[in-house]
Amino acid sequence: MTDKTLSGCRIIIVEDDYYQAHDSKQMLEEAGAAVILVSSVVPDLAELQSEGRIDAALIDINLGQGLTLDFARLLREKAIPFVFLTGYDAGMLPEDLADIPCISKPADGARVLATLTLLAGR
Amino acid sequence: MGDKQQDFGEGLFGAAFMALQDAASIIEPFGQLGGPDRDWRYLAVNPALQELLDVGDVTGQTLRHHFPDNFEKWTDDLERVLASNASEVIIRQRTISSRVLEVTLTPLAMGDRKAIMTRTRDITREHSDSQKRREADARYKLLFDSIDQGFCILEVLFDAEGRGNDYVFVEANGALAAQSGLEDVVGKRMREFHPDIEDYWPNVYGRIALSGVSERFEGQSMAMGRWFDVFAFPIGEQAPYRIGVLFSDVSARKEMEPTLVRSENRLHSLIEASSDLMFQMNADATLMEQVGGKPLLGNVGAASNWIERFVAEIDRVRVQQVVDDGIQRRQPFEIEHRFQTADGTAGWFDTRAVPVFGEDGAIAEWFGMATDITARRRVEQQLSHGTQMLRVASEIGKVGLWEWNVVTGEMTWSDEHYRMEGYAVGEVIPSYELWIERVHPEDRAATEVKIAKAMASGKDYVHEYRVSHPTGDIRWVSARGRFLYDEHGQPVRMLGAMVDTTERRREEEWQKLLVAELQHRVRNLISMVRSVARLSAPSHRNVDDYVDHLIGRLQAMGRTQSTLTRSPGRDVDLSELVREELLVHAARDDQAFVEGPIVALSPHAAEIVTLAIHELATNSIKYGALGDAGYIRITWTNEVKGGKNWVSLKWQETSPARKKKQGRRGFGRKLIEERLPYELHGTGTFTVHDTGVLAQLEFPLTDAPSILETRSVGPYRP
Repeated sequence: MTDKTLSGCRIIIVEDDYYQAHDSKQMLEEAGAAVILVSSVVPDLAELQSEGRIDAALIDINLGQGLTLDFARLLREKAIPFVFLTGYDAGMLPEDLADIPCISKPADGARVLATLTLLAGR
Repeated sequence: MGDKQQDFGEGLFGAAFMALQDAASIIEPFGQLGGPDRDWRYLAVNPALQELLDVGDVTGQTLRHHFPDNFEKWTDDLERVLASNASEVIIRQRTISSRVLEVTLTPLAMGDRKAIMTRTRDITREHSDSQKRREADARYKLLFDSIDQGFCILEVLFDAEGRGNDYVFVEANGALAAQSGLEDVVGKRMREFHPDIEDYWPNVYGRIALSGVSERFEGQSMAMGRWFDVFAFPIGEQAPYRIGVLFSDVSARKEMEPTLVRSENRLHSLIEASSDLMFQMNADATLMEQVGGKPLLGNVGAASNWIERFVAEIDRVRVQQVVDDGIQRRQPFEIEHRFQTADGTAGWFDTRAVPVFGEDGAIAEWFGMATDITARRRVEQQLSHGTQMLRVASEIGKVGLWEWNVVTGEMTWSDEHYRMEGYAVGEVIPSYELWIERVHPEDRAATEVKIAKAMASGKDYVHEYRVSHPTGDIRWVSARGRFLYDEHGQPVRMLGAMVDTTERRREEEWQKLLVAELQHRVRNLISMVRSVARLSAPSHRNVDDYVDHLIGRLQAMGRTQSTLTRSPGRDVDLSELVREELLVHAARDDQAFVEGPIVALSPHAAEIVTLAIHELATNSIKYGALGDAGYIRITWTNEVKGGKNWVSLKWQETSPARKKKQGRRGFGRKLIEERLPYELHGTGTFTVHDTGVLAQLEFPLTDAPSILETRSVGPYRP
């Protein structure tokens, strides 16, 4: 991962697993991305946007305390591309979000990177 | 006159005269015959006459003197006989004694002397007998004329072979014309009326005329167009006898007969064809005798006590009661009972009997029928057995049954069906409307479509839908039903059964969740192992240490997992968790003090706390209290802060000397200071003092942090 394919890309990570979040952050930063948020809870999107643009998001579907589906719909509304990361099957996704890329844990770093690169239009 | 008399009295003739059994006299006229002084004198009167007429010896006395009243009449008779000189028999009733006398007057001549001898016989009895006979004849004639039956006396005419071939009517009564259609028959031959009369008739009469044996028969004469009921008998002293024929025209009855016979045959066939046994019983209904119908009881034989003989012992008392009641109330009775026969046949009878009353109003006898209902009873029993089994099975299996009469709209629910619809048993009268009302509004249209399709296609109705109870409870039911059709293919009934599948669906859903959760956990675990492995690496210079640490951490994770799996969906007791970790690390009781309230940790929190205690204990063995003569206090509190239930755990070591000062942030410290805040949204500190390590873990307890906790979620929703 020496290619800085995500150089300058502002990315948020919503993931309740500390180690996974840590891994993802490390991987994305190595690809040149700026990880502007790592959160185990659903963040306030409006507030985040007020601090700067968001190019892409990496979201765990189940945060233990609840699902992130509504947050995902909000992202789509704001035209922010995102990738689901989940321990569950992709089949669990509701119909309206079935077209969202979904990567199973344990995540293959290369795949996460490739998908995000594609989505971020890099 | 005296000497003449003497002359007569002397001599043999005189003696003979006097000795005659018959009453006799000789009488002689004197005076002018026919003149006013005419008279007759008795010349001789024998003792028999004296006795008969109850007179003395009237010899020499005159007729006028003795019978002044009848003198003229007798004188006329005597003079006539004298004149005619011919004997005469005169029968005359005496006025005095009303006896009937037959008097024979015989003229006598002795030279020119004329006399008459009288011989008198008392014929009173003979007279009255013949009188009676004449009267009887008249009465018989009257009788024959007055009876409706035809009567005639015939004389049979025989042919050359001695067979009767015609007959003459000698006598006939008045009714003969009406009964035979023949009029004015006396003196005429039968063949004058009907030349073609069947030979049969003269043949029969000819036979009787010769044999003298009377015959009774019914016969048809095509020639006369009639049927006759005939009694023919011989009359007379010897063959060939005359024939008396008493007969009546039975054509009308004969014409009716075939109809009667047919109707009787029909009745007979009916009785024979039916499975009934017809019987007759005495007044107190003890003795029974079969009078017709099927030999259901075999050969019943003479009248016998039927209750003892044929009613099964188990039913005898009951039958006797019904019979006694019928007798007392003088009403027909009917009872279904078991029967048995001598040859071991057994079954069920429906026995009915009606009383027949005599003229005195008392029961004279009973007539009845017994129908073999064995087959029906068996079917009923099987049916009732089957119904009972079905009922019990449906109750045990919690199956709701229904029957819907499509034509009348009538509906029947089993007890369980009521309960499945949210009703008490029998609370409402089931109907299609009530049923559809309880179907969940979202499922109603689809359910009605399914019913309509099943009705139209004849295929089974198979459907799973929700039932909304008034309590708000929603139950899933799986129903199967089938329509039954009449011969025109019209649906008439629907039968069906349904079971509550709420629990099953919940279990299935739970199963799905479990599989998903397992998948999730395995994946998370692999992620975590990868992360732990990677994070463990930098803190160890040699591979052995690294492997030891890695294995220790994986084992700690394994312990958490096994605790969670042992009691899935349940929280983990903090105290138990801490003590187990200490035990694993072989901490002695005097080395550690553990105290805190009961706190239930979510699986997620348990996982982190377990790993944290593991790290602290490992660290302590290597560098601190557990590796030395130190002492650890592990205490926690539980309090509400900002609406959340916070647990605050303190790990405090008291160790006399540090072997080595901890410099860099190791795995355990990262866990406490970074992972715990990140994942449990609390705080974690790890500090090393001179007296030993002090670690503080604070985090809010959460509800339902794992998907496994969804088991407590309320009614299932798809």
